[in-house]
Amino acid sequence: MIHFILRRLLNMIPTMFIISVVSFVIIQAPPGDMLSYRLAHLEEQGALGSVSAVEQLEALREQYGLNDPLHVQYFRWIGGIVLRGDFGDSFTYEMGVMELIGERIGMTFALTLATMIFTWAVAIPIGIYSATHKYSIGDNAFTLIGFIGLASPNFLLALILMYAQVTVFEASSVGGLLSPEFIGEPWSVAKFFNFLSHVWVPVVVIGTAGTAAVIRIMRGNLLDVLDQQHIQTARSKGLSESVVVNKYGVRIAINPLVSRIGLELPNLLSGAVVAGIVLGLPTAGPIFYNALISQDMYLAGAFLILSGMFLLFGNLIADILLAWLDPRIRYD
Amino acid sequence: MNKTDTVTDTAAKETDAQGRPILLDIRSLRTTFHTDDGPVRAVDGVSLKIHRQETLGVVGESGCGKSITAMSVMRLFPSPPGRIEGGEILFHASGAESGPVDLAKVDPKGRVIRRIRGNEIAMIFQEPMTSLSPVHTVGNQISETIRLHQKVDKKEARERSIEMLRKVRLPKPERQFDAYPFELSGGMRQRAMIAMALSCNPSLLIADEPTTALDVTVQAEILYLIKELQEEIGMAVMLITHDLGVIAHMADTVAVMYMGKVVERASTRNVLKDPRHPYTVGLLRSIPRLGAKRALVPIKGTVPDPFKLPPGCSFGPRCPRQVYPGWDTDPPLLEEVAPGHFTRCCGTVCEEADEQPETAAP
Repeated sequence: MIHFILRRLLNMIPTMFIISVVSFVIIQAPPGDMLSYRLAHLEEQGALGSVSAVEQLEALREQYGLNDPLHVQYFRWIGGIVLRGDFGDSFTYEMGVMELIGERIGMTFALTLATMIFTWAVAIPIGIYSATHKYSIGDNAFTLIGFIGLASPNFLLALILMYAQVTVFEASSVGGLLSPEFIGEPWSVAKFFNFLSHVWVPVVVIGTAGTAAVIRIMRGNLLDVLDQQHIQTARSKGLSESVVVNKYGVRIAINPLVSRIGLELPNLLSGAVVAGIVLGLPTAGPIFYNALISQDMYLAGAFLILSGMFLLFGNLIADILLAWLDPRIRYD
Repeated sequence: MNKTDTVTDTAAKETDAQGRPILLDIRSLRTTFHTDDGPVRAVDGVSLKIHRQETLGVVGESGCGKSITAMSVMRLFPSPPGRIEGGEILFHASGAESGPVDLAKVDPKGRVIRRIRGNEIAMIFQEPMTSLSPVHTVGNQISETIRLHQKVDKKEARERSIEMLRKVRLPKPERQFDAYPFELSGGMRQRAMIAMALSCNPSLLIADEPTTALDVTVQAEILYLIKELQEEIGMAVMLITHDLGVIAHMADTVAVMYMGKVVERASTRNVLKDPRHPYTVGLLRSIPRLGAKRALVPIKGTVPDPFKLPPGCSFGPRCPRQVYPGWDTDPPLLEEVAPGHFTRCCGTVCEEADEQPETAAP
């Protein structure tokens, strides 16, 4: 098992290298760069023609090494990340990328984790119910709700929930993850409860589509498993229906869902972008969006690299869990 | 069609010729599947008896209702769409003072049937490759049954499981206890399955085509093993198969089924040497035999569509005896044509000199 994990970790290095090259190419791909974006801004403000502005930009370009050949730029960038954990500076915010997004990444991670727990805690029991009560009224109702959940865009859900917060719950602050008075305060019990009172909205918004999908997958998988011969064998032993379903059905039906964890992690990161903007969350998503708009290349690059790492680590965790759950999987 | 057998042949007689008391008494059982295309009478008035320690062979081609009959006894058929619509399944459990339990009436998910399943009546299935859970060890699956029905602790259950694995002659039983099914061959899995089924010393084992999916060489071993353990435990066996060779080896009595009905029922010897129903005759004639001079004679036609059963005898359209009056209007009843020999054929009344088949030597 240790060997399996070590080998998988080693395999991640070349994959990570490829991801970094592709990320770099992507952030370089749009015509122009960060400075030409700023130039365009100055142009709009009628400041063009001011020689000093152009010269200033030229100086900045030289300072950031934007005139160097691409591969030099790439190795300077990746070298900083690997050797010093330095993702470069953000042009827009004029500060270190890590400094800028460090706390936001933590928040994003907390939100992602909460969303996954919510998704699984809601979806799996419903999936089991739907499979064991196929075509019952309950099953059909959950199917309907599930499809609505899958189909509704999450920004719309976010707006509806914020509206409900204001009108029904008469909340004093809407959006974000904390009330204004707690922002910047050290963590305390009161702050934690304030966090909980805010976090459910983004969790529901981000998790709804995933929940609906997991319900459908769980239902389908379990129905397949319950049709298998060994379920009849288990019943023929005199086991109660709940033992048959849980020990022999769910135990096998859940495996394909475990492999979804790997795909879900980066999905939640990007899925949270729209919801993050609408809800004004201090998460990574909205900043990433702005970075792409303003061609803030090192900031955007950091996000791409991080999503790649999320994906790889998610897959690793899923594989370890699967290997642990299913004896038929070989480590070597 | 709705006529069921008279109870006369299944009444009162509580012991068989060897004085063995009755164990399972199925009377006019009807199990119907209500599908979207209409009802299918999978089991249509079946009456069977199994005495203690007796082996009853049930033969018939695929879809004749033999498996559903067994599933009805265990109450394991999917419901819905399946439903028992009539008849009784009287099970005389050992040491039951209150008389037999009618399994046709119990709740299929209830406590009564669950206490019988795996404990009094055990079952093994056709597909050893899929009938064990792939993600639990063999030992876990066997000791689970023991712990469920006999209040013993984990260690005791483990020892008994290993003992059972030894009894079914699985090599290195201590090691196989912790093996997963995918680590065993088909024959070994079927042995493990038998160990699991017999772990609580059932009084009846239902074996649904236990050797069909196995290598020919392994088949004989498994059958021999079942027979040996049957004598050791003193259980009855309901052996479902389409292989008359297996029947000849194993069964005391035989029931031949066709389209959800028992068409012939007698001692194995009588069925093989003196078959009275044309379907049985046809089955016997279609067995290939080494050195036989004559060509195989298949039964003409095919099994009728279960949604469009012929009005009279369901075998009628394929029957060489169609000349008898009434075959296409009145379904024949099960009649005793010789002591202990029942057959459901209007042709037997006339007892014409049908061409007798060669006897089926095993």
